[in-house]
Amino acid sequence: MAMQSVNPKHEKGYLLALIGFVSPIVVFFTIFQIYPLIKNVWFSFTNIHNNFTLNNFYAILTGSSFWQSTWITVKFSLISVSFEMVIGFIFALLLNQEFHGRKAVRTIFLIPWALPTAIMATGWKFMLQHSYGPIPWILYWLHITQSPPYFLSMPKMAFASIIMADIWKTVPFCALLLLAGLQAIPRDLYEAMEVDGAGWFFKLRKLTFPLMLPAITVTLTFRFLQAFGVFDLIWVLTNGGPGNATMALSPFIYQQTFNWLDVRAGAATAVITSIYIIGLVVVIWITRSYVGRRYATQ
Amino acid sequence: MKKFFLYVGVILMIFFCLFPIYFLLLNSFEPTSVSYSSPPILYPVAFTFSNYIGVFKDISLGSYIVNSLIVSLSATAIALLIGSMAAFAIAKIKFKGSSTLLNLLLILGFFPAATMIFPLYEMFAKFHLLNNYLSLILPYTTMSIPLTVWVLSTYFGQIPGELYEAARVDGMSRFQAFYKIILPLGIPAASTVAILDFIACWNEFILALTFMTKENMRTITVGISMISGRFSYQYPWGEIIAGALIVTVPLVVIIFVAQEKIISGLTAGAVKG
Repeated sequence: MAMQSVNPKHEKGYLLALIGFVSPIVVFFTIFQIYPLIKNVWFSFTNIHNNFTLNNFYAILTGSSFWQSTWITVKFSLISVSFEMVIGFIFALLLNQEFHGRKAVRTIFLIPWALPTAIMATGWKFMLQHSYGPIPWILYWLHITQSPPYFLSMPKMAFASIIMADIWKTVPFCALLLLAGLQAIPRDLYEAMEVDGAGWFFKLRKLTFPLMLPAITVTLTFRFLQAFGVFDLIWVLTNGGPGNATMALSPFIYQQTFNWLDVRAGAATAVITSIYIIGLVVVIWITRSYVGRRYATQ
Repeated sequence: MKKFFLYVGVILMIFFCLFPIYFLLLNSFEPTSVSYSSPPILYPVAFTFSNYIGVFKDISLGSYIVNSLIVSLSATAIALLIGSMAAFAIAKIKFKGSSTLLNLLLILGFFPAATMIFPLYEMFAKFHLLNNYLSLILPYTTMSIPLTVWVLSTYFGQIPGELYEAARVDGMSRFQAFYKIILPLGIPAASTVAILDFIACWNEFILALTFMTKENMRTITVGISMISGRFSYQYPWGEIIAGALIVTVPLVVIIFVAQEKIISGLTAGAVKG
């Protein structure tokens, strides 16, 4: 009698219970996530008279702003995530050593991560001001630049500013994720290699790195997809400017929709951005299963 | 020698994380005239609390904090409630397609808010919910669900199945077994998730910027970052920075109290791969 309940599907009320437990999240997701995505597809393929049209896509794909935004987004994601992974990995290796106050340092690492992006961007906006911000002047005083550089009013420097602020905000997060991966590697594997006389770099290349691959792919995936949707940082720090020098896709959608009130152009950009995201997810999915198989057979 | 380089590295890391905080703290206690001096002064020269007082008087920081608390706490509570139910179904009732559901939640979470913001705006406008707490609570709940369900379903999965089955044999309904047996055991994981959800809602920007158009309904992120000076040519930097630090305090307190939980919650995915 008791054993019958092991297979829950034969119990009465199984389906009803399932619906009761799962439907709330399904309802939330349908209304507040799936419906808006589909509604945007509808907007992007219609004109103001609700007739089918391809003009919204034609207009953005033949204009230069959309492609410029795509390029800025790709550049921003690639550059900032590469820096973050490298610096994050070095920080994780350091944090994995024994030293006094290690726990305190890990706590400090959570501060940039927990700070709201919009608020830390406000702080960076102050620090980068040309006439009274500390960062341009420190660069000048250290003789790194000839004069205090204009960060937020020069296109290339504004781009460098958003990358710098993003690195500051997310390196500690990457380091903590990678540290978790490092700590999952059994110590005795290192000891075994040391007995065989393996050097520091050999251990890093042959042991640490391959065993860290899952943690590295997870960190890369999260960071890259997050960077691709960047909005808060840019909106507060540069507002997409100067000109359109830092107008990534998310702020571009926002500008089209709420500043220019061109809802359909915004919807078309949003739809293509969604396609980019789906493409990225598929690529990551395939890469992960490939990497997984390759290291499973070794 | 090796130790020496290690400590140099550690000091560099601490410097990396804290140097902006130093400049912000410094300028929050300086009168505006000092903050605006060019070249900047990188050490304390004057000391004043006027920015911390001004940010409550001139800028309604108090109401921003209340707004943020209301929406973040409500969304976290609802996400925990309905997320734990779904996580329980995935872990203990078990059904076909549960892993598809988990993956779908994960992928939907990757779509930037900008890709769905106008239809939401239109919907809330139609139901007269703009400038209403619900316009943030409902999407924030949705945004919190993926992490909640992922972490809790993993945790519930580790609770021995015998406990649930024994409760069922004793005549408990599924819902009773959920809230009397499984949920109490899941409290450690639920509190981790609650902290992460709360921080994510507290920090959200784009939806709050769009749906709260009235000044007194703004949340802290929008309230502080969208302050423009009373005089258009001069930002009240001292007050803005003081406000930024004030709303960071609760986060720092949470970090100090619950750092182990936060790190374990953040890194759960990285170890499993």
